[in-house]
Parts: sequence; C-alpha cells; structure tokens
Amino acid sequence: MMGREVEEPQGAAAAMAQAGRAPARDKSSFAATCSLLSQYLRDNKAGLQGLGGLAMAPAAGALRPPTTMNLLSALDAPAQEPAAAEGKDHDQRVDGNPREAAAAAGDETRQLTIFYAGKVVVFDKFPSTKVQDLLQIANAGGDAAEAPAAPNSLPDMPIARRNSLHRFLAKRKDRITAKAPYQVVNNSSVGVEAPKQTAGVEKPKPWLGLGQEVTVKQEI
Amino acid sequence: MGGEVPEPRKMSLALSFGCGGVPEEALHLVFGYVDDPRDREAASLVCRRWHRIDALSRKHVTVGFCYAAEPARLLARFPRLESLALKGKPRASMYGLIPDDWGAYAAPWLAQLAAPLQCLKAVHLRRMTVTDEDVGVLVRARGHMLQVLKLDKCSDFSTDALRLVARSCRSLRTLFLEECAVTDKGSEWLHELAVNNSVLVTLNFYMTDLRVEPADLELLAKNCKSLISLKMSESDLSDLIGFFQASKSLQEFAGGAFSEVGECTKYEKVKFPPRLCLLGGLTFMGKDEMPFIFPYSAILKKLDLQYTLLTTEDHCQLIAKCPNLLVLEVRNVIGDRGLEVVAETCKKLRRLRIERGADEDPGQEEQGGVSQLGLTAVAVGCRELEYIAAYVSDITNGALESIGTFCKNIYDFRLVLLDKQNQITDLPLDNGVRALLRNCTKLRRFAIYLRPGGLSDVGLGYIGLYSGNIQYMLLGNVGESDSGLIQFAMGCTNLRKLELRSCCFSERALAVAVLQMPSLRYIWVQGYRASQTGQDLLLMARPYWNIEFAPPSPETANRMMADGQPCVDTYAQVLAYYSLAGRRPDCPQWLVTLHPA
Repeated sequence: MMGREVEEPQGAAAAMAQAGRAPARDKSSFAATCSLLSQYLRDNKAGLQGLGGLAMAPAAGALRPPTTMNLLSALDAPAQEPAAAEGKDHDQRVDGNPREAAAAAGDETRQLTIFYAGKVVVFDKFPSTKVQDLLQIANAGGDAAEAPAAPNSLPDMPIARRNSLHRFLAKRKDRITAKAPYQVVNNSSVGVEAPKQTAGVEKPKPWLGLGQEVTVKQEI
Repeated sequence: MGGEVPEPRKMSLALSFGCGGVPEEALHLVFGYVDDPRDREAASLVCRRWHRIDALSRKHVTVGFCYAAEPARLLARFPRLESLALKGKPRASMYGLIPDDWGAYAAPWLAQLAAPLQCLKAVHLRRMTVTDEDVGVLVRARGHMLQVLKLDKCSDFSTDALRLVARSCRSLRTLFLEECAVTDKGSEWLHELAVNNSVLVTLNFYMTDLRVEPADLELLAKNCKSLISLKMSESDLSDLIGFFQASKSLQEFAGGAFSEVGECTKYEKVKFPPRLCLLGGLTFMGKDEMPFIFPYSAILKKLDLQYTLLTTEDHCQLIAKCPNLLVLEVRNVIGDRGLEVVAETCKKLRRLRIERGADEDPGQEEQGGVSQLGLTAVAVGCRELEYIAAYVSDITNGALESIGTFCKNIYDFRLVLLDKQNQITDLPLDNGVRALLRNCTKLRRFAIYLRPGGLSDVGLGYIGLYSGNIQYMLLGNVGESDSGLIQFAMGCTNLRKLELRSCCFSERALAVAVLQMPSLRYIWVQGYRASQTGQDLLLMARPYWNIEFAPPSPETANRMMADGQPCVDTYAQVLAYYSLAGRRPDCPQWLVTLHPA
C-alpha cells in the first residue's frame, strides 16, 4: 500500500478534500477549488464517467457535497469541529456524516485507497457496505469506456521491445520447446520438486505438469 | 542506442581576429584544426569568406534526417567531403513501430553524390533502404578509394552487393552491416573479402542472418593482420577455434554462440586471442559455459550479456571477476543483487544498459527485475557513468536523486518503467526527475517512459525548466494534461529532437507545443488524442516545416500479431521536421502530408 500522499493542488482529490472539509467557512477558497475541479472535469471529460458516480461537485453552484465524497471528512477528524457550524446546504444532506452513520450501524470500516489517473486517494475508515456501491459504479464506468474507440480517445499501447531483443527472446522460446534434452539435464531438480508435490496434498495432474515446466525454465 | 560522448569543444573562445586582414592561407590552416561540427557551424556564420573556407575544407557531414536536405545542396556547399553520414527512418523503426515501406531511400543520395564527391571515402547510412543497385553506384564511382562502408540497420540489399564491395573495395578498412536485413545468396562475399582485402580493421555483420564459412573467417584473419574487431552473425564458438588462433590483433568479438547445451567439453579448445577485451554475443551461454570466459574476465573492458541465459546468481558470479569493465550490457535478469555487484566491482564503468527480458517468463525473470535499489547502488558505486539505459520494475524519487548526486558525468540517461508490476513505490517522480536534471549538467540526451501518473504536469514543467542543455528527448506516458505539455515546451530552448509516445496530449496541444520550442527540428509522436484527419496539427504549419501524418489503419485496429503485439500501423503517428528539400516525393500511400490549403 502506498503511503498517503498530499495531492497536487490542482488534483481532483485535493479539490474533493477541501470541498468536503468546510464549505461554508471560506467561500472564496471554496469557489476557487470548485473552479479548479470543474477545470479538471473539463480536461478529463472522456475518462471521468467511471468516477462520475462519486458525484464530485460539477460546478461552483452545486454546494451540496454528495454522500460518497463526504467520506473525506472522516480523513480529518479535527476539521469536523469547525465544520459543525455548517451552512444550510450541508444540513440538507440526507445521510449525515457517513462516519457517524457507519458507527451507528455498527458497520465494519477499513481503509480504502483509490488510484485514479495517477492520483492516490486514501479514505481511512470506509464502511464495507459502501464498497459494493462503489464497485458497481466503477464497473459501469469501465463498460462505458470500452465502447468503440471514439475519436480523440487515448489508445492503451504496450511498451515496444527492441527488435534485437525480440528476436533473441523468440529464439530462446523455440529453443526451450525444441530442446527435449533439457529435461534430462535438469532431471535432478525436477526430480526433487515433483515428489514433494505428490507427497503433499494430492494435486491434480495439470498442476503438476505446470510446476515441472516452470522448474525447467528456471534452469535455463 | 546512443552515440559516444563527444569530445569537449576545443574552441572555448571564439577566434577574435576579424574578417579583413588575415591572409586566406592562414585561415585555411586554422580551419584545418577545427573539427567539431558545432565549431564549424559557428565559424561558417561569421562572414562570407569564412563560410566559403569552411565549405571547401569541411571533411565530414552528418545529415540527421535524409528528408531534411537535398543531395544537390550538400554537394554545392561541401564539394570536398571525405565522409558522409545519413540517417533515415525514425528511431521507432528499431522497435518495430515503422512499416517497412516507410521510405528513407539511399538511391537519390548515392546517385547524385557518389561520382561528384571526389574525395569521398567514408559512407555511413543508418536505418535506410539501400538496394544492390545503390551499392553498385557507390562502388563503381568510389570503390577504389572507399575506406569505410557502414550500412547500419539498413534493408533491401543482398549478398550480391557485398560481393561487389568485397571484389572492388580493396582499401576498405571498415565494413559494417549490423542489424541489416540482407537477402542471403551464399557466403561467397566473405570468401572474396578474405581473398581481396588485406587491410580490413573492422568487420561487423552482427545481428544479421548471414551464414558464413568458418574457413573464410580464418582466411580473413590470416590475410588481414590488422583485424581488430569482428562482430558476426550467430555462429557456434567451437567452429571458430581456427579463426581465433589466426587473429592475433583481435580486440573485439561478438556473435559467438553456445548452441549445444550441456556439451562444455566441446568449447574447451576455444581460446580467445590475447588482446581481446571487448566481448559480446555469447548467445545461449548458461551457467555451465560461463567459466569459459573467466580466464579473460579481468582484462575485459566491454561485456554484453543480453543474449545469454545467465540467472541473477550467475551474473553476480561473473561480474565480480570483471573489475575493468567500461561498458556493460545486460537484461534485467541481472536483478538488484547483480547491480550491487556491479557497484562494488566495476569502478570504471562508463556505460550501463539494462534491457528488458521476457514478460511471460516467470521462471527466469522473476528473480531478476531491477528497481530503485539496484539503480541507487550503481549510482553510488560507479561515479564515472556517462550513459545509463534501464528498464526497471520499480522506481523511487530517491533513486533518481542519487543519480543526480553521484553521477556527475551522465551524458545520456534513459529510463523505462515496465508495466507489469501493479504497485510502484513512489510516484509521481516529479522531484526525482528535477533533482537528476538539475545536478547532471552534462546531460544531452534524456528519455523517460513511465505510466499514467508517473510524472505530473508539474514534473513535466520541471523537465522544461531544467533541461536547458538537452538536445534529444523521449517521453512516454508522462504528464496529465495539455497544460503540462505547454509548460514543458516553454522551457525547452535547446531541444532539437523530441519523441513522444503514449501521452494524453491533444493534437492541438502538440501543435502549440512545437511552436514554443525554438531549436526543435524534428518531432515524432505516437499515442496521443489523435483526430481522424490530423487537422489540428496544421496549427504548427510554417515555412520549411514538413508535417507527415499516418492515420491508424482501420484494418489492423483490433488485430494482434502472432506474438501478442499490436500491428505496426495500429496507432496514428505524426512526424514533423524542418526541411530545405520541400515535401518528400516518395511518400507511401498510407502517409498523409499535411500542408495549409
């Protein structure tokens, strides 16, 4: 697990964190954050459907912090005190502070880490009940992203390999499959491995075969 | 990959005498001592007379891209050239990313220059399409005096051309064919070379599929007493016993293979010549064969283990016996442990290359893999390093900082973060990259290929800010948005050549970025937010700036090659460059040249 990271100021997560903390206290900085966030959303239009379900505030006007996002307040407990005197928008929330809600429901909470577009967001106490919701949202987003490549989408391209290395690795592969004597040469190590596996819990045959194959490769 | 570190420029102060009073002969004499092309370029801009004297006395020219100039123009300016180097296809062709029919034909250059350049005795063509006829033109015009012929990663010729060279070029010192795609019509060319030539110093047909007779090599060694370097196609070492006995001067050898497994006795009689200190190839050398090179290890200056079957442990054992290495090339199976041995043992190391092994070979490669630990160890232990190219599985800012702190002589740094490992210890690498660039002031070439999130826009801005002296750069999977690219571009004042791959930038941002970089003369991009037509690229249109757009091929969009790699034309590509030659006349059909209406 990665250590908790302080986000770059322009990152969406930073915007989320600030928005979740004390919306009413510092209107101007909140507005600035929101405009940063909306800029981020504009820049990342294509890729955000997936997390769109997290309902990050889309523009400065929408002050109501959505449920999931609000979990960030759990990150920073001391900030809850000043935030107690919140604006009405905050009061309109149906669920209240999920951390408290979770505690009241006796839910199990664990740390949740999200890697997204190179950012890392860590939620310290995330109720397990919410995880399913989150997965659903993420899955839906993933499907959308796999739709036929729209123009301007960024292809996911593998790292290319140097021609000379490529040829060598292909030759080596042929050699491994072609050279039966190998198994004879490395008989001893295979011999040691195989009985151990059979002696242990009964393994199905294909598994055994695989084990041998790996051993052979190791020797080359 | 990556040339040698150039000599420091000798003319640190500009010559201060004026254009008027100095006699012509004196100027000629002085110019005779100016070799560095950068000094030459500066001198040629002083006045018309200096320009003329430079033009008449220039002996070597490298044309960095064959479509950037016309042969006729080169001839008109430098009629007394002795040596010409020409580069063709983009570097990406070495990675199978450029279709074979892309172009870079040597024909117009050789047809127009071979005869009139009467002093020409050295020709180096890199990544170009060279036919037998082209070689014929060169040999007929200059064969009697040709000393150096380098066909470097070229294609389309056959051994017929080599036979002609072998028969006609009796002054040839260097014949270089590394990684060429040559049609093999028999090994007579080598026999003819051995019979007709007695002055050969360097023969290289490494990484080709040419089959030769060991007896011809032995004959060559007997006839060419000055043969210092032989790099050959894969050939069993036990067939070369006679050759090694005959070539007393040999210092460099690559290409030998241990093709028989478990037959160590077969190689017992192979004895390298006494001066051999540069060693590569050793294809399929495994643990059992490794002791074969122990007797030579202490004098080795260069060792290439990329094509061996050695494990991490074997690497440790072998390298511990090589204290005098200047150049080491390996696959990442060397592992962090192997690199720790390098750091302890190879205190003189100048160049280190850690290539990428197989992805789907857990048996061998899993124990290897190089991370921040190995890189840091090498940075601390090998202070003379000038060149590092490494494929790593994990990386941290700290490791990059170590390189910045300890390796002050780094001239060329290339890092690729492999994509197999899910978790990387420390991303983004903004601060590490900044520290490296700030501290390695000799850096001229820089490549960093990461993954999404590997370098933020801020980090990209750092590269722009601290890369003042860098002339070539490759960036892959870096940045977060267009604004990162623009920030980067605004800092790159001396960047001449840029390659971008798999980045999130829009076509428009690419065009705008190009306009920000005053020294940029060549850019290649693959993997960006491409439009179907490339229309936004026209924003960078300007005089002498050629834009070539290769739209993704609809037929191969979802098809994979046999080895699981995407087809060569799956993704859109852009190449843009300055050219005095106008639009190229030989574009393949699939390539679109963009120009304002």
